[in-house]
Amino acid sequence: MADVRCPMCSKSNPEDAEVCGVCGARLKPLVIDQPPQEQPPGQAEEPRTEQGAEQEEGLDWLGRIRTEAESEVPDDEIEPEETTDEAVSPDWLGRLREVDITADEGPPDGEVPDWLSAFSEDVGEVGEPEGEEQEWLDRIREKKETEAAEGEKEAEPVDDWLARLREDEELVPESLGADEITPEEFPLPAEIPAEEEVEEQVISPIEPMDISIEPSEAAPLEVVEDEEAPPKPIDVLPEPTEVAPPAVPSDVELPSEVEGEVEEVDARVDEFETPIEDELPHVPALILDEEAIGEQTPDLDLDSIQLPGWLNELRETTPQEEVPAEDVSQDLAPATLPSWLEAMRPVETFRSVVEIESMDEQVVESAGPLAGLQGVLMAEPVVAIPRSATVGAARLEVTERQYAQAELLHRIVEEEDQERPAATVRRIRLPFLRWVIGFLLVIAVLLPTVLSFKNGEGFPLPSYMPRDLGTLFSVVEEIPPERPVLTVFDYTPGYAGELNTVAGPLLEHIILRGLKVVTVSTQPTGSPLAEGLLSRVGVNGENYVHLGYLSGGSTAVQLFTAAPRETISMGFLLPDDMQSQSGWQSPILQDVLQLSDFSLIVVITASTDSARAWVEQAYPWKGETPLVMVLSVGTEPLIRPYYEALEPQVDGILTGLPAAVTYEQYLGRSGDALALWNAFGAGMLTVELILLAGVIYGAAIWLARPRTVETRSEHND
Amino acid sequence: MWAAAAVGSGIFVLLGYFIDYEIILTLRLILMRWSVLLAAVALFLGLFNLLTVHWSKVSEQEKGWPFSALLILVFLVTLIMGLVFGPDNQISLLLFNYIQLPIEASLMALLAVFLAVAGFRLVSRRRDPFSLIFVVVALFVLLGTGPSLGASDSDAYILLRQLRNWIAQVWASGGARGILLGVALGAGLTGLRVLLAVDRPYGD
Amino acid sequence: MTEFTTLDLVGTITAALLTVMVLSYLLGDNIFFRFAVYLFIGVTAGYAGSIAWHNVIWPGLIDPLISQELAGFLQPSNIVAVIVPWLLTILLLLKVSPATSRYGGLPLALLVGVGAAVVVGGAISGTLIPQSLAAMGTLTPSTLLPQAGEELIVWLERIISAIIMLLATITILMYFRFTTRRGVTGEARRSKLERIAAVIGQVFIAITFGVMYAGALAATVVILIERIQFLRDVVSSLLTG
Repeated sequence: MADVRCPMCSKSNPEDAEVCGVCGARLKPLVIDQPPQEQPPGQAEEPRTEQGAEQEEGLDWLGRIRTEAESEVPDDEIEPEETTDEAVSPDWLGRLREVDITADEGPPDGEVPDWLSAFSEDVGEVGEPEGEEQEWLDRIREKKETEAAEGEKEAEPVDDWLARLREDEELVPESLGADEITPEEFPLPAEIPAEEEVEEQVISPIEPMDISIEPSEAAPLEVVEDEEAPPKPIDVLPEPTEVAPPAVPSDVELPSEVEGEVEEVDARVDEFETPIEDELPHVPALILDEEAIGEQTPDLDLDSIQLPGWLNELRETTPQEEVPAEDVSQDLAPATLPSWLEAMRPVETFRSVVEIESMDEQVVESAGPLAGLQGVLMAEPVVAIPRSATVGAARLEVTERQYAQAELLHRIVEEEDQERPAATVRRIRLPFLRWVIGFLLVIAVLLPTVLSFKNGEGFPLPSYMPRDLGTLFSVVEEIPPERPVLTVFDYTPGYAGELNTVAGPLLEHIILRGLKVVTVSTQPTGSPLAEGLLSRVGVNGENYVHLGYLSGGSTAVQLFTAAPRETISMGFLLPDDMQSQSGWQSPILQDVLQLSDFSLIVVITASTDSARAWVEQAYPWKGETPLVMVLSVGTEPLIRPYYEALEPQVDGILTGLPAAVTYEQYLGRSGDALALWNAFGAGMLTVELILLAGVIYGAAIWLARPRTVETRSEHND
Repeated sequence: MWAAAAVGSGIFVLLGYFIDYEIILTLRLILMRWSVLLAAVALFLGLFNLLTVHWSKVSEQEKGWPFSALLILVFLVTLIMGLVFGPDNQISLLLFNYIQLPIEASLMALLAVFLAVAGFRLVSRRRDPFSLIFVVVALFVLLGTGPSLGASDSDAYILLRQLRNWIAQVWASGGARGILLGVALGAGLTGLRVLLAVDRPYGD
Repeated sequence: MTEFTTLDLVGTITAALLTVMVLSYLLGDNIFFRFAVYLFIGVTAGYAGSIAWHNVIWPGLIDPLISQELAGFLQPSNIVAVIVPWLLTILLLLKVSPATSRYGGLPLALLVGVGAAVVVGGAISGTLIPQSLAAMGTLTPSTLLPQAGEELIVWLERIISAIIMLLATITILMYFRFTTRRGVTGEARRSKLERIAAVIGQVFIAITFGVMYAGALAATVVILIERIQFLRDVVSSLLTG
């Protein structure tokens, strides 16, 4: 036998168990055929409170009315309701009553409204109705008796009248949301609840609120006093409604001794002038009594009921809408609202429209505290089904644009707190100092060139050979003439003015010795610069050849020094007979396979990085081939350590115009260096004077300021 | 994955400096050859970026857009001439010798004036001992580098030249060695960070 | 020849005008200077592109692809020399578009890795070891002992120079060491010896940079002289016809 899991605590229970053995929740929904005595053990074990007992007894008069109404339901109009395990309408009423036995859902103890408390004092245990209440209850009772005398009705299922109602209407609203209900169709609340009825009136929070009974089909309530059965609240509706509720099978039989008390209650009900709906919630009491389920539930004939005066007033003030029985398409009969309530009705556009499904379509709740009830709002899509967090739900995905916008917003907000400095008027400052120094320099270098000093005039030429130049001179003199000289032109056109002047005598010396020159460069402009310099002292193809451009910086230098022939395959400005060939095809390079096959490596550069790269990369591969450098004066200090070492990595350095002039002097040739000597002297003198003036000016400012501060401090004293 | 490529290629090239093994040397040469090729392609990418930047300035007519239009025109003419006829053709060499070389040399000539202005202002703006040492040493070196005001074989001039050489070849050389060692250490550490994939300038 | 001379004349005049336009920056920023600079950038970029194409890209990528026969295309040597470089080139060109730029990471990684290795290898084998040995060898007995026939003053000068060079090297390296200990008060503080050495190192740095500044000034003066003389030659040529 398969176990049944409790919907509340998920514990296994036997299949035939009605309630859960652990938590007491109902495992099987209530059905109509279920005898009222077969209450869930949990509920049966719950102690009946004194208040509950009072409620039961006080509602006997309502039960009598109901039973009277039920007894009037014709046999042929009442059809057995198809019940299933998921019981339909009467079951929920029965369940409600069972639940209500112990539920303290009415007004809490001690908080009975004043009118009801006054009523209860008179009623006593069972709430004796007084006055007008007693009168209309009596009238109802009398009518029922006369009707009952006219014909005895067979015991019919409680839901015969209900089924009859259902035949006439399409939709039987049992719960909110099934059919469309408008406020004017909404039935009036139980206007005159007895004291016992008040506390029991709020039976269940899920009790349908749109219960109404057609006056033509509603049977007069048959109040049956039954001491044992719990009292039922009277479902008294002053207005006929379109759809009859499935409830109100009055199966409560009040005991005879309580009947008198009920009459008192009836009388007292008439006293109440104020609408109850102001004080109590409109919860039509629909409690099923198990015994009464088998009885027919006569339709309540509201017209036959002599209502209290205040109810009649309400009826007069509200319009009575005659809803034809055949109009099953309408949802509920419009309720008669008092004028003041009508005025409070919200605007139509905001009126909520709730659709109520038919009884056949309504699903019976199978889990939770509402198990067995029909027409319950499905909670599973919203509440019950736990949703797992989506992957990355905690991770906020921000696009680049959003991030940029957020940054912008953050920056804007931050700027609000920052003080913006006052806009300063931008003064145009003329560069007087630059004009003066520029003018002086240009004039200084221009004058000697314009004046055309003859040899021996102007600034004295260098008279001795520097130590570095002597070393270089000897290196060049000692290299074998059969192997070419590799010359690296690693400077930009900006330094062409200086390095062409300084390297010119060296290259001229090399070519004068009959050595061939092979040029290469890691600068794109190195080859045309080499052509411009070498074309003055030699012939392309005979004295020199250009291998071209090495792309890649230090990597290209390392690759060339390791495998020269595999690095460069083209040439630059090759002779006509070598067009579309590689520079390595030149006869100058026919015996050169590696770096050490060159007789001399000359690196002409103005960049410290380039010089250092050639020193570092070529040193392991050059072998015994000397490496000399022609450097810009500003680069020389950082390369000199390579030259000054015990095992020098650079074998010769040529730098500066004075060294070039000296070199030209030793070669006995007049070159560009000599042509620039006088202008160079004038320019250097000008620069020295400018620097000296700057030092004096700075020193003067430095000396002047402390005295000014001391003078002010003395005056202050 | 890119880090693996960088580290792997770098290790092979670095090993070639210290290990004389044929496979390593061969692979090293292959990797460096690819690197040289890619450097030239990267140069073209840089040129393309230059073109797009200035093209956008022209199309959106930003401030100075006529100069950008001139740049684009000259760039395309020079490039097409060089691609079609070769960089050693007469027109390309004319463009180089009469436009690029004089402009670049003139820009460097301007530097003489600005360096002189900076030297003049140095002591007046930064009055600390190191600035004074800087300028005084520069003055001595210039005095020793330039021609003599009197006879070139005078004692004063010879003393001045020897002082200049001593400062430049001893004091400055020692300092330069320390700077070179520091630069080499820094460059080596930076390269090692790349080889160990700590720094990834190529992206993840 | 006449055409070439005419071209040379036109070119020379153009060069002179451009030189003047650039030197006009001494008066202040002006439209002529900006015109010359933009012209310079365009010519430089175009010429660099043409040089790179003819010397590297054509012989390295295009020519092997054209000259190779289809049969020998898949040989290992061609795969290494042609196919792989082409693939790397295509990947690098994908860097142009932001959508595909991530695929260009491989060639960039290769460039960076090889470049870093070359720098590290060169720094270690070409600078660190030799310069360290040179610094250590400054005060070796062979260096310190007087050489045959050497005058005392020369020997003393050599000794003092060696000491100065060593002192400069050490103090500058100590100056560049910025790792210190935290003092009692919590602030970073060098020891007294370190502070003295750092100050001496700063002096040597000032001397070195002073020499470099003087050299740069001398070099730029020479370049200025060359430009002024060029203008003088052009003007004199035009005046003399």
